[in-house]
Formats: sequence, structure tokens, C-alpha cells
Amino acid sequence: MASTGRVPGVAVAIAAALIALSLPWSDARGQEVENLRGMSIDDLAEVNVSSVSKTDQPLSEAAASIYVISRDDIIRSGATTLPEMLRLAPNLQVYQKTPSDWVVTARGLNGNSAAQSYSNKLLVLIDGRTVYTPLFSGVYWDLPDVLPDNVDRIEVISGPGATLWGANAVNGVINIITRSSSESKGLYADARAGPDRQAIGARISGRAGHDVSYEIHGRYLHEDAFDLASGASAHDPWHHLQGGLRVDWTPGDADLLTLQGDIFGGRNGQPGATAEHMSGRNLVARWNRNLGSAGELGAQLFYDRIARDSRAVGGGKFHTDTFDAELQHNITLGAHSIVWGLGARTVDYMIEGTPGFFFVPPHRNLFIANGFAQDSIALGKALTFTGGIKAEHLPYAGTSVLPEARLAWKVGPKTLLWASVERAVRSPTPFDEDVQERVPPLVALSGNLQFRTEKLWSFELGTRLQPTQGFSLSATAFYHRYQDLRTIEFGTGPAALNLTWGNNLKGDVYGIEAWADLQLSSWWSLSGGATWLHRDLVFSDDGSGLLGPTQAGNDPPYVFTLRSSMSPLTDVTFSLGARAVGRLSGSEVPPYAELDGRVAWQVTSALALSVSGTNLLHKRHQEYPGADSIPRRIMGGVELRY
Amino acid sequence: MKKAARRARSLRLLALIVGPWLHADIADAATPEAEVKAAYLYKLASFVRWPAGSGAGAFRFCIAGRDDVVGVLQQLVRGQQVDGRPLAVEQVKAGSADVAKECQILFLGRGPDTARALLGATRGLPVLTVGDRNNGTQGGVVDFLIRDGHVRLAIDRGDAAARHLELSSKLLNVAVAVDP
Repeated sequence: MASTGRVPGVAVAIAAALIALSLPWSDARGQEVENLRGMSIDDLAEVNVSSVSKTDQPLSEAAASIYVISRDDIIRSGATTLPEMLRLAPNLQVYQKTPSDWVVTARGLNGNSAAQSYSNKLLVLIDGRTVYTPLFSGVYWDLPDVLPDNVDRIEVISGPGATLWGANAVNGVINIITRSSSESKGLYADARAGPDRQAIGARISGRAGHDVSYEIHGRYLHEDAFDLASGASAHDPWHHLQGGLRVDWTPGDADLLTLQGDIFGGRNGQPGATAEHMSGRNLVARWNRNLGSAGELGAQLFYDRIARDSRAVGGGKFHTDTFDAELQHNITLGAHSIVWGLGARTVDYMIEGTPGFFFVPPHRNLFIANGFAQDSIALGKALTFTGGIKAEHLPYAGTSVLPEARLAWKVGPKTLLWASVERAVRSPTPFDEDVQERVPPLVALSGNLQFRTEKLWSFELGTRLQPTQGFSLSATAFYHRYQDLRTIEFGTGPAALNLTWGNNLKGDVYGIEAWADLQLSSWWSLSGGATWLHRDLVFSDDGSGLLGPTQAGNDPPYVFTLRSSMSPLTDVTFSLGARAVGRLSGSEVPPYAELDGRVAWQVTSALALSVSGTNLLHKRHQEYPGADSIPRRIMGGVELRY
Repeated sequence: MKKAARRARSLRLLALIVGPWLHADIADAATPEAEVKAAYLYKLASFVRWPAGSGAGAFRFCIAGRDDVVGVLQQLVRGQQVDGRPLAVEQVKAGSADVAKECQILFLGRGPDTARALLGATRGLPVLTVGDRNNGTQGGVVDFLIRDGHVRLAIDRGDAAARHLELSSKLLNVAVAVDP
């Protein structure tokens, strides 16, 4: 603008001619400027989103039902444990059973304890390390822990991501990404404590020379027992202690090497007994290299061990040792953005059962290997087609081929329409194939060595809109067609009633996921989310029909969330998170609404004080069949940074 | 951003064919890095409060040493306002100390000597200085730095206070490093 004053007349004429010449490009340019202007300051800082295409992509262009929980959301909400953080994603359904036991699903199928059906169709990764348990494909949420201040972002994809992410990414992928150690410095300490809940975490970060940064962190979590419906104690307190380290090394502009690891232990109280003990350790080594015009290369190795010992409470014990190696390459060639990769994993496990619950054989080595390739092709200025395929060798089940196709249409600078078709499978596990349960002389259940993969074809249609600067909306309609879901069938064996697993449940789950952000003013923002779900599962002709179709889960027809985040004064934040969950179908768990909240005051740059509360509306409420009643809890917090 | 990079490459090719004319439209050849930095500068205006009576008329963005950022920023501010004030983008040089003192946001894009001169000239004045650690021009109230391929912010609260600038907590939360 100021330069116009200095431009002589001739130049103005030339500029006019140029503008006329470059009109076709100016249009596209105008669109890009609009996009850039519409990005929030968070978008700019977090401009890359690696989950959907395993390459960086702005969220507004992602052709998938992806929600990103930002670091800011996590800190403001006061979320302390990982499942509490995940509750911030409107495309997940989160249920708490006990202080340590949670169920997290996307698009339903939340399991059914009576049928020994455990939510098992989600892939959860922390910095590229899978944390679901290969023994039954579910997640023990009392094992992984992350210091909230260390989270960079959590990318939550509802719907399958199998082509890129692999065999357990059936209903969703949760990608928890922590910050580089170079992004913190000095000492950080965070203590939150109430009469029945405490979380104390600390981190020391530093630099060694110019290119190496490191951090050491640790956290202790304790939650007192919840209640029974009667109001008496459920005697199930939880303790968890974790320590970890991370080193990031950037030897040049093109390379980033990361080494990170954790070690943890914990225990769950049990009524009338001592406790169940958990422990684990893991180590991840990652190397990213920028090859310039030849793309980007990533290699990762990890080792992960988890162990649980419930012998003190009459159970068994087990451990798994997982070794994993992955390689990935992204490259852009003309209109093609290609990503391909290879991966291999072995899981060595040992299960020491009880006379009533054991595995035959008690020890195995599960081997998984895969290769995948995906190509995003720009079909014009506004249209992008993505096709991908993965071939994966699975334990028990041989090789599965998992294709995907996506189409993204940028209708305008602030409107994206997308559609996708994708296939995903849940691989058979030792719990499906090898388990033996005995309640002599009445009942016996034996795993089924012919158990097949559970299969899904998913069809999605979605849109992302940002009609004005302060308002954005994302909505996805999905239709999931399942086949070969696990059922309970009559079998042969030593008892009066002999049971085994079958693959005789099939049918449809469909619904809508939507969420919106509204910036009411510079100091107040609202975000709301909703999922509606309808299930239509039936038994195939061979099925026994035992326990009915609700064995796949007692899913609510709707979950609504509303969050408000205010900074009425520069150094004070006030946030509220409300949720309403419909009646869990086929169960006694009634619909409920609950509220979490936090007020924080940044007293100085080194000191912040807060008060936070969870489940504030009721004295106690239940979220899952057969689970505890969850009481209201309040904590005060102090945060120090030097 | 990737698309923008591709576009930028193809436009550079066009420039070879069409001749130097297209270079006049600098912003078209802007890299994603320049785009993101320009967008940050544009956004910063809404996360900082300047003392009452600081500057009249247009809200002024001043930029030293980065024509590409100037180009993108000019397109971003077109037709926009901050607190009802129109926006202006100006280029400044080491010798433009008088101009720099009247800016609301001063981006020291390149040239350590220029940066030192302009930082010195505006010391204590209500100018939001923005440095760039990857270009050797650190020392602003806000500094850009590149981490993991992202453009991130470092903030010097002491300098902000000395300049009577009020930074929103949102901005402090986004920053990767905050100096008290």
C-alpha cells in the first residue's frame, strides 16, 4: 500500500497489464489468501496434521472425520488422565467404569462385560507406539500416562484408518503426539490435589550443546475408590507412578532423531483383597530425514512391555513384549503426493492363567507384517482423489488386503466436501483363539481356532465449513457394514454347557458426527459436538443368538457435548465442559448429563493456581453397565515454571 | 501449504518463460514459510493491546528485509481492519528509525544489523517487535523460530511490559517459550 505512493505512472500501467495477464492465477491466489486469513493462531502453530495421510496436511483439507484436541484445550479443561483428555473429542464416546478402568470407542460397539465383549476396534498410538493390547485388541487405559503439559496435540479419527494405520484401526485411530523436548526449558511442576484425588507431575528440560535437547519427567496419580450404587465404597482405589525421558537431536537442518522411553508401575485396589499390580516399560527411537525434492523419510523402532499380575485377587498374570520396526517415505511428484511404507512387529507373550481361565498354549509369538502405499492425486484446482492399499499379514488369519478411496472437493475457499470408502478388519487375538474358561461342571468356553477376522466396509460423506472467521463446522455421515463380528456359540467340551466363539453377527451401524467452534469474542469461545448412532445388527443363520445383539455393545443413541472457554481477564481462564449421554441401549444405565469445570489464574509467568472439578452435577452417577457410581471430585492445583 | 509450495514452483517456471514481469507479483512466488509468517503478523494484531493513544490513523505493519512477506501481508490486510482502523503495510530499512517508531508491528525479517538498529530505535516504545531466530534477527517481543518444520513463537514478556504492550494469555499459551 505504502509502495503505491512511490510507483510512477508507467509502472502502474505495467502493473495493470500484469494483473490482466495473471488473472487465472490471481483467482487461485485469492483463494489461498482467504484460506490463510481464515486460519486461527492455533492453526498456524499446529499447521501440520500428520494422521490422515501420514503426511502433513492442513486440517481444513483433511478428507476424514478427524478432530484435533489441542494442547490449549487440554490445559484449559484441567483434564488429568488420558481418557479425560479424550473426552474432549466429540467423535469419541468415553465411559468410566472405575477409577482406573475406562471404555473408549468411536462409532459405538462399546462392548458388553456379561458377554466378555470388550471394546476392541480402536487403534491408539502414543508418539507412534501402539498401546492397545494384542491379547484382546483392547486398551488397558490404566497403563499409558502422559503429562498433560507434554501433549502437543491428540488427533482423533473416527472411522477406519486401516490402509495407513493397520489392522486394529477399525472404528477409529487416536494419535497422541507429545512435544519435542526442545519446546520446554527449565523446571516444570504441576500438583493437583483434592481430598480423594491427587496428580503430581514434574519435568526438567535442558539443552546439551546447540542441537540436543532433553527432558526427564515423572508423575504420580492417585484416585480414591468410587462408590457402589448403594453409596458404599467400591474399594477400588488406583495408584500409578511413571517416569520417562526424551532426547531430541537435530544434527542438521534435514535430520531429527528422537529417543524416548517410559517406565511405570501401578496398582488397582479390589474389594476384599489386596490389589492387582501393573507395570511396563518402553523405548522408542525415531529418525526423520528431509530428502529435499526426494521427499521425507521416517524410520522408527520401538520396544514395549506391559505386565499385569492379579494373583493376589485370585487371577492370573501375563506380560507382553512387543518389538516393532517401521519405515515410511513421502514424496510429491507433480500432481501426486505419495506415501508408502513397510512395517513388522512381533509380540511375545506369556499368560499364567488360573484353573478357571487360561490359554492354550499359554505362550505364543504373534507376527504382523505389512506394506502400504497411498497416492493423493490433484485432479484439478479443487478436486483431490486419494487411493490406497495395504496388505497385512496377521496372526492366525493370514493376509488381509485393505483398500481405501477418498475424494475431496474444495467447493470454495471455506467449504470442503469429501467422501470415502474403506475396508478394515480386526485381527483375531489369543482371546478369540486360545482362551479356555471353566466353571465346572456347568459351563466351559473354549476359543475357536477357526475364528476369522471381523470385517468392516465403511462409507462416509463429510463436510467442513468455515462460513465466517469465528465459526467452523464439521459434519460426517457414516455407514458401517460389519461382517463376522464375534458371537457366542455352542461347542463341545467337558461341561454340561459348552461354548465357543463364532463369527455370526453382522449388520449396519450408521449415524452422524458433527461439531462446531464459535468464537463469540476475543475472550470467549464455545464448541459443541454431537453424535447420533443407530445400530442394526443381526445374527446370521448359523448363529445361536445367545445373549442377543447387544453383546457387541450397549451404545447410547446420542452423545452431546458443549464446552465454553473464557478469558475474561488477561490472566484468568474459566472453562466448562458439559456432556449429555443417552440411555445405553439394552442396559439399566439411564441417560445422564454431567459437567466438568476449571478456573485458573496465571499469577506470574512462573506461577499458576487453579481449581477444577469433575462430574459436578450429581453426587454420583453411573456411565457403564455393571460399573461403579462415580462421585463428584474437586482438586486445587499449583503450576510452577522456572 | 504443500499445494502452495507446488504452486510456487510452477509459478517460478512460468516466470522463466514469461520473463521478469511476473516477478513484480512477488506474493505469487511466496513460500509457505513466508505465508505462515505473514499470517502470524496479521493475527498478532488481535492478540496484543497497545496503550491508548499509540498511533492514529492506519494500523501500521512495518517490515524490514522480507519482500515476500510484505507481498503476502499486503494481500492479507486488503479490505481488513483492526479496531476500526485500516491496515497499512510498509517496508522499512536500517535508516528508517523515524518510520519504525510509529509502527504498531515491526517485523525484523532479515539483516542482523538492521534489526539491531531498529530495536535500538524503538526501545521502550509501544511497538510490537517481531524477530526471526532463523535469520539472526532475534530479540523482538515475539520471535519466530522453526521447530519440526513448524513456525513457532517465543515471547519476551519483560520487553512487552517495558513497551506497555498487553499480551493475551491465548498468545502466551501458543508460544513455545515465554521469557518472564
